[in-house]
Amino acid sequence: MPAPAAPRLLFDKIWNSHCVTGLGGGYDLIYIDRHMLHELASDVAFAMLHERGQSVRRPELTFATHDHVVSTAAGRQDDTWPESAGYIATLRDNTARHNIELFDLHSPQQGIVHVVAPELGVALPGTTLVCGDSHTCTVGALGALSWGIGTSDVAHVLATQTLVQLRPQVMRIECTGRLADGVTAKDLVLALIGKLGADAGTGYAIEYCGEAVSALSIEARLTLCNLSIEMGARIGQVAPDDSTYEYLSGRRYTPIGEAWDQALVHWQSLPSDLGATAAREISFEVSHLKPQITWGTSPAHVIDIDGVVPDPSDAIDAQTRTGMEKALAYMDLAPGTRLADVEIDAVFIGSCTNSRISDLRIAANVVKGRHVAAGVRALVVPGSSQVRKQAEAEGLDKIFSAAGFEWRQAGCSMCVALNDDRLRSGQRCMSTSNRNFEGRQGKGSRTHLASPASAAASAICGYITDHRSIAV
Amino acid sequence: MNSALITGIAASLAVPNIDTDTIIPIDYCINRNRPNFDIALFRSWRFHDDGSERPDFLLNTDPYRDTKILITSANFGCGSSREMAVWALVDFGIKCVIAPSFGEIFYNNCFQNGLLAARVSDETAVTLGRTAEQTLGLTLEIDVSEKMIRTNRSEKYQFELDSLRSEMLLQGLGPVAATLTRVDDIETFEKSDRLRRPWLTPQQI
Repeated sequence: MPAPAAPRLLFDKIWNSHCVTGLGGGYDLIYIDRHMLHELASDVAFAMLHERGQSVRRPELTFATHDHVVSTAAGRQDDTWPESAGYIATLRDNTARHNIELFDLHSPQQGIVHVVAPELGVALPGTTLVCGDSHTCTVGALGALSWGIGTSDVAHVLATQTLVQLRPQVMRIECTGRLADGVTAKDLVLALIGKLGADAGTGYAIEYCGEAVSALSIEARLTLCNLSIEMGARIGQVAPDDSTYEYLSGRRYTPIGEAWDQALVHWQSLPSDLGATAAREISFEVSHLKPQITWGTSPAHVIDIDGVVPDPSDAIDAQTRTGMEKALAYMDLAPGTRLADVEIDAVFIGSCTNSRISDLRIAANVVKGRHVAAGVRALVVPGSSQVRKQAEAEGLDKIFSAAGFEWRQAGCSMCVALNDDRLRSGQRCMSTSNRNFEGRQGKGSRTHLASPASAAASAICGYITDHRSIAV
Repeated sequence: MNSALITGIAASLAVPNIDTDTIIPIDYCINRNRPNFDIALFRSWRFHDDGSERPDFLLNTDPYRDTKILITSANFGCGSSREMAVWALVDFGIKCVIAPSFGEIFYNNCFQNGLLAARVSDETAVTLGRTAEQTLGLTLEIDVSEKMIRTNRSEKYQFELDSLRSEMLLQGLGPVAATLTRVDDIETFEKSDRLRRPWLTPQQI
């Protein structure tokens, strides 16, 4: 009888089966199953490819869409935001030249890369997927191995369908207990980043597991994995389960018939084996969690929404103190301030973190029959044209519009502030996005990261609000 | 780079979690050619809104306009994958960034562009940063082959660098060209994978 195979983790199973060859020193040449392109990070990569006289190795594994630069205004055209016209034209040319599927500006499949990849079944369990965007970790929620890369690596994947990668270690985070009503995956992951730090995941691929994770919908798992990079981890994953298969079934590029049966057998072999251990094991109890909100300029600067801004003099070391003082000065906040009293100028509901249909339903439920406070600009930007269409079929657009929200077209919008969806200097925004860095939502902008429910409630009140205090 | 030695003025920027949005704001990434990104580096820390210099920012003072080596804190280059962050540092003239840890995508991007990201212990980063703050125009010599940082007072500090990345710096190794020499391995993988995972190639429903 052969010796039983050593127990392996989800990560190890996928990594090992994609190793083309070992390169020594911990490096492997890893095969890439899916490559997502967007207009911002692809044009220089294509230029590199063309300069070297190379072609795209597997165009049928490559998908492109416009999300970062495009206008999100109603009735938008290529040049509604003038800077976007050149990007759109270049991506169109490059995808046509190399026979790559493009979800163009007016395609029903257009949207944010990390929203589109799962909803079209481009991302699948057990596949490797990369994209020139750091939030590619999002689609690890389906049990894919996915990570963000720079421009040079985009060119590398186009030419070779592989990447030279240092094998990361695995950090497994077991989330125990159950989230309280009104507390979401966004709150869970913000709390985790606050507890572990903005660089705790550096060098690791994270696997999220435990009963609190199993209980999350696939869309909530996408939110959870999305913020892995804000913990320093390029990769965040959840093992596929029945929720995953149910989610994927019938999507545009999901295998069907015999292919589905074969795929399913493979997918069901992926979850970590009993007895397999990770380099770092963490247990995190979620039952006590409250809605979270960031106060500073790192996602690790996070507190309970009914909490007060911490005091830098309590910092564990001089550099942390420097970082906190710099953040407080930038955010124009004083230690001890109750965030829930702070007035806001804008609310942004959108981004690859929180722009899926379930996010919009939650937000609409809070704002229904109410109105945005005077002086607050509030935007809802669906993550994809499909999400937008679904929301309109459910009448959510009407709820938002009646409440005084702008109902916009799909794109990255005010998360990256590449077009005119941006704040003015000094403006304060409640945002469902993923980064509260200096200037992230426009030069001088001040961002508080929170869940869609918290953002929606704050839009109604005009100041930072615990949505549970205005229960529907 | 093609040289084992980096010598130059070292500036200390002892702030943790400096993200790539801070290194180069997104507005400066909107340029479809690959321009010189020098003026975009640390844009909002370095310049007022009207484009004039902030006189209190270190890199706007002499001799730090000629900084070649940046000593900074944990998690430098976290956040966005934008490779323009590396291009901006390189275009300013930075040859090496010393820090206890780096954002991983940024770290990887550095070596694609001949920029040395030198990982040191927390203690070394603090000591070197303090030395730079106390010594106007401190010059460091960094030996890539020996993985050693030397001060002109003959103090020595080790940094971490694996052999693949060291070779990329020393030999100007192009990763794409190197991978394309393994195209037979890639083809062999694809052939066996087609049998193993016949469902993989996307077919639109």
